[in-house]
Amino acid sequence: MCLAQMGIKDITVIDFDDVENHNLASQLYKESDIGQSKVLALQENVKAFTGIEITAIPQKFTPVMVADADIVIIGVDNMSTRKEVVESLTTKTKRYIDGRMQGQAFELHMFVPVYENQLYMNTWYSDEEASPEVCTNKAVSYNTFAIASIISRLVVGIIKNDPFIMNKTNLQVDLANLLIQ
Amino acid sequence: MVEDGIQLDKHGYMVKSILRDQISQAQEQTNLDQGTRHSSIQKMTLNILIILANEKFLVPFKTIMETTTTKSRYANQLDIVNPLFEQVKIVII
Repeated sequence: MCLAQMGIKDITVIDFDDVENHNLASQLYKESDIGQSKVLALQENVKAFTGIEITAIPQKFTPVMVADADIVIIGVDNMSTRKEVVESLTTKTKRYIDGRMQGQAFELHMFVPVYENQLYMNTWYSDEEASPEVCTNKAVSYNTFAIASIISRLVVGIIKNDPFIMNKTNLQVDLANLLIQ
Repeated sequence: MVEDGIQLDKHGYMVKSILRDQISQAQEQTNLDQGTRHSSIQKMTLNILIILANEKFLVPFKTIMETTTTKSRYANQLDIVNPLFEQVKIVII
């Protein structure tokens, strides 16, 4: 939504999940969206708010879906898919941004496909190693909006080839203690 | 020289003339009512002039002009929005 509000038009969203009741607490869905495909509901909501028609793919990720992307934003809920997405990217993509949320905190990792995948893998861990809190301690609304805002800021920097942004690789934000590093 | 209370150098004056033409074209294209249109364009012009006054704008000028004349919606975000926004393909998973 934030990207579309800035005038970015070619946005594709991929997710095979449906909107559930608990999603309304932290994501931009309406009560009437419950039970609908998340990406189709998002497509409708973005259109209503901005007039921009994004592409919605209510399916599981496959590499062909990111083949011609300039920027890829990863927000899936498991580490194995993150790795699969990263490994499927080519140098056509300028940057990928991996956002990981937990409760009132989040971290972002941004790298150049292929060339910096090893650096990315230094931040990666298996689903077995992931904290069980990831599933139980869901992000609160302000955390979701904060990560969306910062990702949008990164996207602006990538589009404008801003060295200040292009040199960023990792960012940790703890909203409980208002710490950013 | 000073125009609309803002000091402009020779280049700034030339840019302003071009902008005036562009804004005039945008004005004809918009469907806004007269009052809203006038207010919107005034705000847009002021934003542009502030940027011109504060920046060495040779490179970003084209960007600013293209953006503002086609998208007054984003006139309050002039230092952020960019025509490239319409060309970039973003995939969110």
